[in-house]
Amino acid sequence: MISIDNLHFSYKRKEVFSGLDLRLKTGHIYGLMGANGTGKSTLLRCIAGLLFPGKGKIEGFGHQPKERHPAFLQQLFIIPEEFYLPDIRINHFVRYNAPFYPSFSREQFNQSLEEFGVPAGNTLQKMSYGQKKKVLISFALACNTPLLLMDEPTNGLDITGKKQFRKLIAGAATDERCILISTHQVKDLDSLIDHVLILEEGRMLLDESAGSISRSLQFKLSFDAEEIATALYREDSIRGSAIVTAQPDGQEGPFDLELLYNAVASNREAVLAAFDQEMIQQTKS
Amino acid sequence: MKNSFSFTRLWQLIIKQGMENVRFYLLYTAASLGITGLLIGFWLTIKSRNDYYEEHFYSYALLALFLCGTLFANLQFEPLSGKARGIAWLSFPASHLEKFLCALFYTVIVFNGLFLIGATVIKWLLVFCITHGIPEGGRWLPMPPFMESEEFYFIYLFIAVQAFYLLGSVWFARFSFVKTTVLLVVLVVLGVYYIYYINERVFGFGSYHWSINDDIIVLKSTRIGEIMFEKAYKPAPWLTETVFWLMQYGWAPVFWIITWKRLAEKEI
Repeated sequence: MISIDNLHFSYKRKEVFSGLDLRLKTGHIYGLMGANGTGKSTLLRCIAGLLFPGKGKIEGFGHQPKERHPAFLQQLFIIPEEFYLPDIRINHFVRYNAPFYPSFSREQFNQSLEEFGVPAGNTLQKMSYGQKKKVLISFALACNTPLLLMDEPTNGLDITGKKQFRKLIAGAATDERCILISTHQVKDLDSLIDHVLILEEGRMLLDESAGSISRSLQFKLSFDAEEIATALYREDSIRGSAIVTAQPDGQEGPFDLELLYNAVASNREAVLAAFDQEMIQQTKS
Repeated sequence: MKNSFSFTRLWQLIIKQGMENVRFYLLYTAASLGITGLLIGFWLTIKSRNDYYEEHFYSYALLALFLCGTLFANLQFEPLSGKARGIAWLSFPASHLEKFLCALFYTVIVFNGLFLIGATVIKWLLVFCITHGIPEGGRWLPMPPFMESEEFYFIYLFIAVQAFYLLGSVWFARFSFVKTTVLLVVLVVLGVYYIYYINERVFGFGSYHWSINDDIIVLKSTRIGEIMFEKAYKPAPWLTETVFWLMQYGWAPVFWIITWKRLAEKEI
């Protein structure tokens, strides 16, 4: 659905991407992670056609995003970290914006809004940041675009709001839809994400499905000194050490996004080698 | 939705833009007419005699139109100066042409139309007061129809300048009104200097004149009353007509086309 080949992008002298390749497919919820300044938001904007690649190619739905053709734009919705909503009533916002999205469902919008507990008759500018975000998320989901790009969607949401967000996204994820979520708030989303992308130094450091991660790596609490010492990554706490090790039997287990990210960031080669091992085992079997 | 341009989508966009900005448009038009009223009031207070020439009214109204109309044009693509509004604007499913035509509709038709109606009402009130003895002894001195007067050429100039400011609002990310004004002044100064430079090379030192009579263009330079250089040209009538037509009507479409193309290159 979206294919990125050899993407190069720079802000004046600061290079952000240098030969990035990526494929996004429908039926997945992608979690995009990376340190500050690695280009997560930039990547979302390149995919949406808001920034143009210096070199390389992006293609989506048979279009080049940078052309910003209406047929392309009506198939994606982007929720940026800093977003804008006009100073009008929610009903009016929907009435005048929805016609541009052919699969928009008013019923779905009302349900999401109700789920979030936002009164539909309110004026947008009188709402808090969190409430406005809930309206925007509800609208984005109701547009039913095949591609949904979200930059830090849980920022500004209250605890209940985050729970509702997870529920709504889980309900909205279909085989015809691809959702790409850029976030630092991994704890809010690790139950949702089924494909992990980690960006570093202009390249995709990790591009693995949740299944592949849980078959390759084991995430657990350990008190065993030897196991802790040989772990790929460890975090000590009063409840014991949270460790990441290579999965010994190739069986799928639970995975922890935050631990995974920290493990990749601190012991990249060993962690990536565990994926290679899984690939070898898969090939043998 | 497969096409880059659709009248239905353009109309929907115009309605959306109108509904989202109706308060701003009304307030801005009211403020513009307030400024026009203030300028007319200034004209009335500086007058030493009670003769009110219609052409003076038009001069002040045109001044207000230039001030407010250019600023309004410069605000049309203001969303592009900020990341949040810019992303919402650029990622909205309409083509650049539709977005541009929508901005053009509100700038050229809506604002200019509302201003024209407002200025007509102000003029009507003014004439009503003067012809009813306020101030005492005041005389309203009408001019020939405005559309046949030389002042009407300022409307063509205004449309061109307004188009230039519309372009400036896309071209400059921040402080676009100031930057566009500075650029316009620089271009005018360079243009005048260039014409002066060419005149000096062709005519030599002196005062330069040109006139056109019966399709004959006469270029003349004089110094201390003495003719230094004089030449008459008779270009093909179609050429003269085309050049004058382009000079009169061509600027605004050129600036509009550049604005539309520049929108497509805009990144946020």
